[in-house]
Amino acid sequence: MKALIQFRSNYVMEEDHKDVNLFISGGSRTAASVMGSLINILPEVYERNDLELNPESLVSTARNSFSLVADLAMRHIYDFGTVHIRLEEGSKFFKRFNSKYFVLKDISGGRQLTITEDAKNYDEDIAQVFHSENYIGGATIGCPAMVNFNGESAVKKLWNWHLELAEAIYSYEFG
Amino acid sequence: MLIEGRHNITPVAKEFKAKGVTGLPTFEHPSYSYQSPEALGIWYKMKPELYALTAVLIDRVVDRAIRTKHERPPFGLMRGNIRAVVDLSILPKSVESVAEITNDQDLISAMRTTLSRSVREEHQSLDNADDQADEERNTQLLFIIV
Repeated sequence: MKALIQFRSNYVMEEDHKDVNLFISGGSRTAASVMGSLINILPEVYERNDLELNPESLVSTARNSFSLVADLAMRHIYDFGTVHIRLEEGSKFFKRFNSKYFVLKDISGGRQLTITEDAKNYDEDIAQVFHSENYIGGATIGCPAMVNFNGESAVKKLWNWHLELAEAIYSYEFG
Repeated sequence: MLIEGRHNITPVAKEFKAKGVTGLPTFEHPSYSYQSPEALGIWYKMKPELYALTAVLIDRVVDRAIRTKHERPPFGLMRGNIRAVVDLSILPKSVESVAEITNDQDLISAMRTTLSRSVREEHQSLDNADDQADEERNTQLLFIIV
């Protein structure tokens, strides 16, 4: 519940923030930050699994991991906030994802980064809010940036852009 | 299902058409993809119109950012701290920059209007809930007094 209150007070409940800025600017910056953090955490997850840090393999795994990005974007805004806060560690000024919440899943054609069930689950308090009769919010539909206009969604386009970043970083670090 | 026809999406479809978005957008998901009538639901307490407008604006912002990435590279290389190398300055920081990037004051103003209406309705709904609670409490008190 603390996470919910924190998220609401930071992003939602302040009426001054309820403007275009919140939805467009805030949303795109959060998306970029999450995507950067996922690229950042992948080598650490590889190391924890005793896998060789090979740039091609890392990029391929990052490419396969769009479903994780989509899963986060599809969440209800409160639920996303809770999961996001749970995944992060570090100081107020420098936060990064905690690798203990990330696992690699074998799929046909490679691996995929995903988050653990612990990290994924609703907080019970949050679930109670969603299921209470007093909750006047909507269904858990997900971020509008997942709407696909005759091509790729904004989330997918931004992720593809970040894959270029991943390729450059992994080649530099591990090539 | 996520959305079961809770909202009339016709105004949204009209809005999309009026703004030059052709064809029905689909909703992207790793497991399934479906057409907009189901997709254009609400996020948080968004009305479908607001959801649609947000989707259009975000799409434009990201398109613009990607188009200009060679002029203003979004990242450089800095060892050990990937977050620090992701230059977010290419993304809009303010309402004004959103308007500038999307180059569509009409869309911004439509979104602001919808947002204000949404906030007003939300307050109204909360006020009504408070009034109802007061009324119930008063009725209970009345019973106790009687």
